[in-house]
Amino acid sequence: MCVFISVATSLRADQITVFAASSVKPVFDKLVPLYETETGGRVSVSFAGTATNVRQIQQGAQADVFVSANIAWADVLQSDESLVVQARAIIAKNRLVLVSATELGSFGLNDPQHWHAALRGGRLAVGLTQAVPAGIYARQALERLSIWDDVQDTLVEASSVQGVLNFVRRGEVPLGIVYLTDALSITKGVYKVALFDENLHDPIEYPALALTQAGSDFIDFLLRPETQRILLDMGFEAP
Amino acid sequence: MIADVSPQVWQAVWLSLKVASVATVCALPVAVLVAYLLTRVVFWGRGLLTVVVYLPLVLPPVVTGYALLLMFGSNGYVGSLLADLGIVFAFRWTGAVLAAAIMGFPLMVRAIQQALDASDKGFEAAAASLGASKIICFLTITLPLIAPGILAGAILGFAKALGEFGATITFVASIPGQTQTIPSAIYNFLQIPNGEPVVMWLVGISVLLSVVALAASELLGRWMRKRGV
Amino acid sequence: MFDLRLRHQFNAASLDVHVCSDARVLALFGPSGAGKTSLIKALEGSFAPQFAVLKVAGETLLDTTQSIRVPTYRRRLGVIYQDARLFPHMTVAGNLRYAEQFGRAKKLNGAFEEVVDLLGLERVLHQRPATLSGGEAQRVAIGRAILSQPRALLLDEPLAAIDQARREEIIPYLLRLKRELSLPMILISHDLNDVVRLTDDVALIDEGRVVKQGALADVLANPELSQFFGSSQTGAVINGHVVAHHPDGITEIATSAGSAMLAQIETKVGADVRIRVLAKDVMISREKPIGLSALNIWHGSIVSITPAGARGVVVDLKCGSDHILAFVTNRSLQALALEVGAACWLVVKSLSLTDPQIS
Repeated sequence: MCVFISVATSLRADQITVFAASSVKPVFDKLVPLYETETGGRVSVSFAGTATNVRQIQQGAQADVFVSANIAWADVLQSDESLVVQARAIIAKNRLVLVSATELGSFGLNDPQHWHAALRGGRLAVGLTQAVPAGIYARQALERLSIWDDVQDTLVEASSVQGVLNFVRRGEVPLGIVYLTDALSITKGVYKVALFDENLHDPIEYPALALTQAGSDFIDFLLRPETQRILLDMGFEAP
Repeated sequence: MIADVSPQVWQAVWLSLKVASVATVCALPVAVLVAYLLTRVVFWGRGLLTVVVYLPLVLPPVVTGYALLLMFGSNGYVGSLLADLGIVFAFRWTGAVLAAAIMGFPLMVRAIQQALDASDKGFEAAAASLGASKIICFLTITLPLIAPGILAGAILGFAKALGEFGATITFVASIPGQTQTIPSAIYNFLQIPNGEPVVMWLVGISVLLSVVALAASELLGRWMRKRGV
Repeated sequence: MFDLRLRHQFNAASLDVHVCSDARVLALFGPSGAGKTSLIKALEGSFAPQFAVLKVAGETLLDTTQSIRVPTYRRRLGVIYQDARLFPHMTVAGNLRYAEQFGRAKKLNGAFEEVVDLLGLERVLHQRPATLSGGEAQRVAIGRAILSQPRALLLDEPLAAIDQARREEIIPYLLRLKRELSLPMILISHDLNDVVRLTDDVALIDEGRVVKQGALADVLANPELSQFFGSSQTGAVINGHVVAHHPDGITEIATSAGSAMLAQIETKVGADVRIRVLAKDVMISREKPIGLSALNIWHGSIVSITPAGARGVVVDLKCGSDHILAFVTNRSLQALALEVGAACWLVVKSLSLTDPQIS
């Protein structure tokens, strides 16, 4: 039945539906109008937590494209036998960064003293470490830095990166871990303290899955050099 | 990883019960007072108070949560002052209580207001003629007569507190043992591939708690009716 | 006892009353909408008139000229409402005890039992108000009001919501109250029967004004006021005392107007009673009638003759020191050539005692 629906959607080339992770919203807000002008069609995007997106698609939501914030959920969707994935490609990568509401000097990420000094008894805000991709990556990085034990009890787990940024900006927490793209998109109130080395966590990759032919066209658009330039400008890294 | 989350599950259940109970108990007297003010007392600013009271009902919970963060966070306008007194809401179960209480408050006030509107003012007039001052009349006549309405408000507030998520997570995030209530835990495990079994556990416990609360309120209601209220 | 002055301008009507009475039981009588309710509400404290000076038993409760306004809960006016208003979440005993805590003087020992006895409430003490009849509920309400040790009782149409048959459940108790307690009472009623049985003074209020105020007998016997009482209720009230119970079942009662004979009366010899003589039950004869079955034939002289619309006229006769009213058609008026000062015989077809027995 899903195949039938997928075929039916592709006949409507003038409108496509994209389910995307929240962290790509700022850049998609720029890319979507470009695509619409070029094809003359309409793109409607639903931004939500990756897990929510997957469950909705599994329950029959009609999506042409799914942009995931991590590999695991993309695999879940791909292994779902009721869906046919026509194309899959990584469209961008991201980095993890430590942020603060005040300017700190140099910061040794593997130095517990620096952490304690910066936290001053306060808390470290991250995404849900079991569930939100940004949180999962943060936990991996902290564990590989052998800092996890030092900071585990100080964690504040927010349901989204936006929540982490709220806490940091309001000064409720001295430190937070977010995506590089998020830190760059804020002009004041949040300062980059240190960039996490890529080896400290699983690659932060954004796999895009096309469920229809029209979706496949959209992914091709995302991979074009001009589109990629825009992504790089926003802080993403090439796939 | 899923196998050893049962301590997390029970922690969330225990925390939810604690937060919901404390929120209901603390908010209820205030709700009675506010409902009385709005129904029986005419004063300038009554309209304004009504709007403020019912605001959490109409605003998206996340907005309410963010407002709480601005007001009661440790850097908040009120929170920073309270911190000097040793009262802390940020990232503690007390913050979850505050969020739950604020979200359930309009429901409580509404139920009690309806009971007050329906109650016969004649009894209060009779009590006054016997010599009861407004306060004594309120405590001995009005309160017992609106008790079913107060009970209804309490149940509604408790249920809302049990299910409160948006404001809580925006204000005090999800910290196991402190602020990870049942809804937060459900949200958490819904995001994990194959987290469904744990979610089912949590949902089942939520339903059970609701049933118990409803049954208790029904029994209490019947007892009240027997006593002629 | 009561000195009540009130003036208020409503949208369509105005109220200007002054009621002053030293009687222990004062009735405010008049048609609905006449202004009684506003006066009562002002006394209760739920209505603020533009001008009022209200004094009850020596205390000023309201004086707009001096900005004195005693709040309701300190007025110590026991109010008995039309709908009893017993607190539903307490038993009868609970309602009674509730009032006790507000008594000014130290709790009088035995007051509770006395009131229960006075009003016959032993049987219902442990029942809830919802299970009581209208009459029983009112008795509890009266007891509750008394136990709060008020300086006066305000009975606001207490019998209006109770059907005829049940009224006998209360009126005897109200009479008992009047006899055994020294509480001043104001009774508001539009039902003349109740007024006649219970009160000493009457203030007749109509269209926002006091038409007449005075002793019950005087007001009732005033032929100009008969329009307020209705032709079936117009008539005098006279006082008497029981002289003897005759073996054939007739009781003789001595009044100033003459000997009144009634059947099947149980009141003790020597007791004071009040007798109602309705104008429609009185016939006039220029000569002493003989051979009539009526037992009550009195003698008096005509004091005034007042037109009474379709019924003809109301004749006011002085018998002894009592005034008796009689309806006479215009035809009979001409035929008998009745005129002021003429001596007549009165045939009273039926009499009734206002005091029923307490069973």
